[in-house]
Amino acid sequence: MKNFDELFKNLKEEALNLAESTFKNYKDAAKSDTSNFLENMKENLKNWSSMVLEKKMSKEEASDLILNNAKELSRMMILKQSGIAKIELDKFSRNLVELIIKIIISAL
Amino acid sequence: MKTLSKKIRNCALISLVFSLIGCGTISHFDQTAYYQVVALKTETLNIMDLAKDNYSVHEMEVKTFQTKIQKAYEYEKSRSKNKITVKQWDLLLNKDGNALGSFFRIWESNEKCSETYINEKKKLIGQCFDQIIELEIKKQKNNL
Repeated sequence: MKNFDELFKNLKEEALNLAESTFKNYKDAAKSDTSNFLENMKENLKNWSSMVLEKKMSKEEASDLILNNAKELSRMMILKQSGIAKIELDKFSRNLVELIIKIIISAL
Repeated sequence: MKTLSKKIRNCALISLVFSLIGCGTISHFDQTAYYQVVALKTETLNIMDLAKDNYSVHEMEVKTFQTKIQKAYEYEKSRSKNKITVKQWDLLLNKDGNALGSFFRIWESNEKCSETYINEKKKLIGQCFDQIIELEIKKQKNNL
């Protein structure tokens, strides 16, 4: 295997090109997100690659870890954030109700 | 006439207030759901450790575990306004997915998994469970 840093640099270049050609109208945001995402995964990718080379893990197992990390975990995090947004919305509704009761209803 | 219109307006206002109180967008904290997901996280990570052995040796334990986790999933589905948590469970349990589904697929098809893979996958699955747990806890804090 080539030097990992060199491989990672190639991967990042190709991923940024892909982001640019896919999200023409939002290319700057897409490129920034892609770059952050890959940088966050870099350490894991490096570790998992060396484990495959040392035959501590099969290619199939490594591919599964990459897919899980890239897809399922990020989806779970997005769902949690949207759940938290709903909780905040409910909290706002309750506070609004309290405000209505405090100011309007009590003045009736 | 003026008094009547004022009374109608007041009634409408009070109805609005009560409808706002009753229309939360997400389920409230549920103690049973919380205990279940915390217990199942531990149990799942323990079951995953068994993948260092041949799948056939532990097949019955895996099936029993899958039935148990399916019951927890059904419980989540029965809670009202709980779509987001159910979607999280869908991702975690989907047999064709890349979370627990792919782990059991690889274990069954390869007979056993490498220790490195088991440990790395356990970290990821643990984090997936944490997302569900953290959302439930957030519901708890907000209900106080």
